[in-house]
Amino acid sequence: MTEGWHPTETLVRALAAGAACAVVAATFGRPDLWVLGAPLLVAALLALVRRPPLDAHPLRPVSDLASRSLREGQRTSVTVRIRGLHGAEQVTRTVDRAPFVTVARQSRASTHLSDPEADTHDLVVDLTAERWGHVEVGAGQAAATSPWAGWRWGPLPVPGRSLIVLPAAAGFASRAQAPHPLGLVGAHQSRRTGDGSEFAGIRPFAVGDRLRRINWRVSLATGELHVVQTRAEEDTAVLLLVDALADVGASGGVDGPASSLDLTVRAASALTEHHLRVGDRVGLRVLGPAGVPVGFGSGGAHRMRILHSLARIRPGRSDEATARRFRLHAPDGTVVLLLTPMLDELTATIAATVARSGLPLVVVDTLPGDAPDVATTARARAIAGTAWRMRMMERDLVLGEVARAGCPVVTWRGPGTLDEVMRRLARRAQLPRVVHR
Amino acid sequence: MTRRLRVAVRRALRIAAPSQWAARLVVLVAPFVVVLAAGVAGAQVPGWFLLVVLFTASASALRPDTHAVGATLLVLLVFWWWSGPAASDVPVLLAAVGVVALHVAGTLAGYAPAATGLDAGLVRLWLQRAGLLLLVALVAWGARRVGDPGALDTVAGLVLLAAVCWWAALRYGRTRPVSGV
Repeated sequence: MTEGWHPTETLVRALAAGAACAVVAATFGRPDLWVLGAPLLVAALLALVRRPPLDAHPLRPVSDLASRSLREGQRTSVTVRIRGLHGAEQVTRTVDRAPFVTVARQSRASTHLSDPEADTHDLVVDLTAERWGHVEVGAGQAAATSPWAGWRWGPLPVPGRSLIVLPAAAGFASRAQAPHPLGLVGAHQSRRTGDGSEFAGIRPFAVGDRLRRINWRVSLATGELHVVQTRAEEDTAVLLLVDALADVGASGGVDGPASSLDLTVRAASALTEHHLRVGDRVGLRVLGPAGVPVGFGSGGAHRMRILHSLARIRPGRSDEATARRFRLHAPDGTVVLLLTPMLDELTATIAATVARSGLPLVVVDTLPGDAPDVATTARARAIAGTAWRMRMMERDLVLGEVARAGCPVVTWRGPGTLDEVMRRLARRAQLPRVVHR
Repeated sequence: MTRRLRVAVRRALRIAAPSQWAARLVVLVAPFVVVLAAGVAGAQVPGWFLLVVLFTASASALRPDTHAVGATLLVLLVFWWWSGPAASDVPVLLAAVGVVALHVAGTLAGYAPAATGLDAGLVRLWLQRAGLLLLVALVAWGARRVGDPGALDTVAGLVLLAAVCWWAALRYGRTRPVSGV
């Protein structure tokens, strides 16, 4: 990094070679060297004549984001504004590579002519965010050059801006009812009768029944007033428990292969969107170092809160992620959806703990189907394959423990993943059971 | 080693912008134009000198933002002085074309990293400047041909250069911003 205008190699070259030619031509009587040296001398003199002002304001590159948060796969632009360019003819800007950020080829680095009288020059960098998370974009270097390439300022570092990439919602829809709807209003069919639209039966009229509930056909046939009985519709609370203890597999961005954490986060995003859309209250807990719990809530602002929390997830273990300290703080009837590749015994222990507490729990398996291929040589690939098979055997044992604890395990496959298991949970919820607290 | 070289060349081919390739190719070829001009003028060009030129020209093409271009220029000018072709010969003009091409292409390629495409307006501006510099060389060459060698070395040459400098300063006193930037 160089502060201030300083002579370039071009000026030094033209001045030195031109002057040398002139001296030799005059000293040794070699006029042919005038022909070779004159253009260089002229270039050097013109660069000196167009020297930028020495008391110029320092060059100040700043970057600004068009949008501070966006979804995976979406595009945005960073505007690098360089101030203090008075006297500069040309601006060069490069952009550092950022993980999972694709910068358009023509935007990665560019040279531009600038008006020497102007003080500010804007350079726009178009980029696409390929994976969820927090990423710094727009960082790089910028330099300015005076006319005839005589003087240069920089290269100066351009500070980047933090971009929040929210996970894309994987395609998901479910028609299954929640097993324990305990809220006030919502889309789930309650076990009790009340004001709703789902038919529950026909019974004789009682004092307090609404007249619009009278079924006239049955009333005429029986000679007594009968009313249609419906089930109440309630919302439910859904707690998404995200396992960020490890990230298995290589991530290729939104359109490439997905790692286990990619699948987990995108599935959590999809489930959040779905349950909030049907009016449920959704909460989030993360098993990992950057887990920011989000309490139960609903609405658009709450959806963004959960998505931002998901974007902050980093894989790894934290001191707090122990089964003994783990507390869900979830109200009765909350449906717990544990999204995990099930590669850690801690997850199995937590699953068993939740199941014993009486909350309906579904384990959503988010391990990618293919074994991670990170080895480069055949020998390394063979070793990695063996290690992966051993890991899968251990995982099968963990899954067995979870199943024995009474937790249904389903593999994440997008739409309809939870339908069957939620129906089974709803049926099971109607049976009496012993709860350990 | 060969494999690494192949990978490096393939990567360089992939990352470098076409305009940078063109500018660096000129940097690589221009020194040989000067050597060719010296050969045409009757100078003996030893094989080792060609290797030296190849080495410095390659270094200049790879790192045009360093003093490698200047070193190449000095090597060529020293060789020209040492081999001593006549000033009034046409090959001097050819050599001047080589020198100007090396200087201008080295400047253009040195503006930014290899992956950075050069702005079309910038290339146009420097092509105009190259034309101006060739005009300066032509004026110096013409003046040398018609006048007395001894006097022109000191007086007429300097006057002509000053006139051309004045004209160029007026002509290129203001850089015109390019649309679409």
